[in-house]
Amino acid sequence: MKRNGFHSEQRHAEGRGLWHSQDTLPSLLSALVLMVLFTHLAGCTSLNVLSDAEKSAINAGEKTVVLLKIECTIDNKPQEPFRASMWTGEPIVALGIGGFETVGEPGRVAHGFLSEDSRRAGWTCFALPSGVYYLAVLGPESDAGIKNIREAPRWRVDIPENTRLLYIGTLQLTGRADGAFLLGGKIIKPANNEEFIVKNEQELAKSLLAEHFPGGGEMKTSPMQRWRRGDPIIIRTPKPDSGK
Amino acid sequence: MNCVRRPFAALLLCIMPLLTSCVVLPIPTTESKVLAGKPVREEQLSFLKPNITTKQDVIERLGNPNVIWEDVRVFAYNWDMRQGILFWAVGAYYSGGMGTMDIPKHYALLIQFDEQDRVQRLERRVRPPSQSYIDFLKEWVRAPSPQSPQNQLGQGE
Repeated sequence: MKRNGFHSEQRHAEGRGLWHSQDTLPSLLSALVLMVLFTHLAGCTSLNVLSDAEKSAINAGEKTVVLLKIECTIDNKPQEPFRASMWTGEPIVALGIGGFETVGEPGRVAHGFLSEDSRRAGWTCFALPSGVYYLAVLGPESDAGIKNIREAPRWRVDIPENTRLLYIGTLQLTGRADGAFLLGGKIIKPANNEEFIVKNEQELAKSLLAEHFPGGGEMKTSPMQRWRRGDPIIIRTPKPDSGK
Repeated sequence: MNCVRRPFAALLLCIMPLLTSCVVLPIPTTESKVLAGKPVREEQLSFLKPNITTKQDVIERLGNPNVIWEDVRVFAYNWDMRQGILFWAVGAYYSGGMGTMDIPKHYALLIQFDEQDRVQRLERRVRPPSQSYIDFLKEWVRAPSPQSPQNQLGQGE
């Protein structure tokens, strides 16, 4: 009986001492094509918008949309801080959040985008219950995706109660090209030297949030505060119904 | 010929992981080396008097705390002392590696204030390595306050 499958019809290659299968190569190739196709599709659809559950938690007042903007320049030229896909080789900025349960120690977190255009402009957001958080920002750096987020510069973010929409500022990050990878693409390193500027673009933030959360009420502005090693970590007990 | 070699190769593959070995040896040391933070010695705490010492006095004498738990009015000062050295060695087939690492002991001075920002209770404690920091704080905050506020220095060591 002829078996059809990945390992069927194995034969010994005469004089070469190799085992092969007549249909192994086509199977491998088709698997490879599928993998490439899948990763490409995954890359194209990586825009992380707020989920329906998060939106309903925001509308119910259980969570706050925390909006911030990252302005990134590499060698004095503007760059998108958040790449559209993990398969493009652009420099990236990674974000981490620490809160009550981690006593401020940040962990990597998936941050959302309100739209593709706002992502390109550097706007990003989190849906969080009220409380004190520590935002860690790594980059712009080629290996921001793998570096320890706990070593990144941090800012304290205070989310007041009964707030649906909050803007915490526009953070300016600078980087520089430092050589190139073997297979192409610049190696990007941060160039802020621990000095950061947080701008206030609350009018832009207000119009962006009004567009996406028309019934969200008034936006509050609470600029993030730089936290440096040695400063106290401030924590606050979350409300029992928070984090739903 | 291949029919003979293949089972032998499979057997060899099964045996190879057993040829690895690992040695871990903890060596206790005196607690003389500070690994992290600024130790708070007992003699530094003589100024702390429950119901008298204020939050401002504490900051002036001990500096800013590492952690402020706002709503329960708790200050935490943390430091790590070396309590031992862990010697490790790993060998596998023809290669291997060895090294040492410090074994820390996590200390904390916890101070709770009353609503008038005066010291209510305080304790110097050791956090077990298996306990998360927030659970350690929660456990202390939940612990019943003594009948009369008193200094509990040295406990937990």
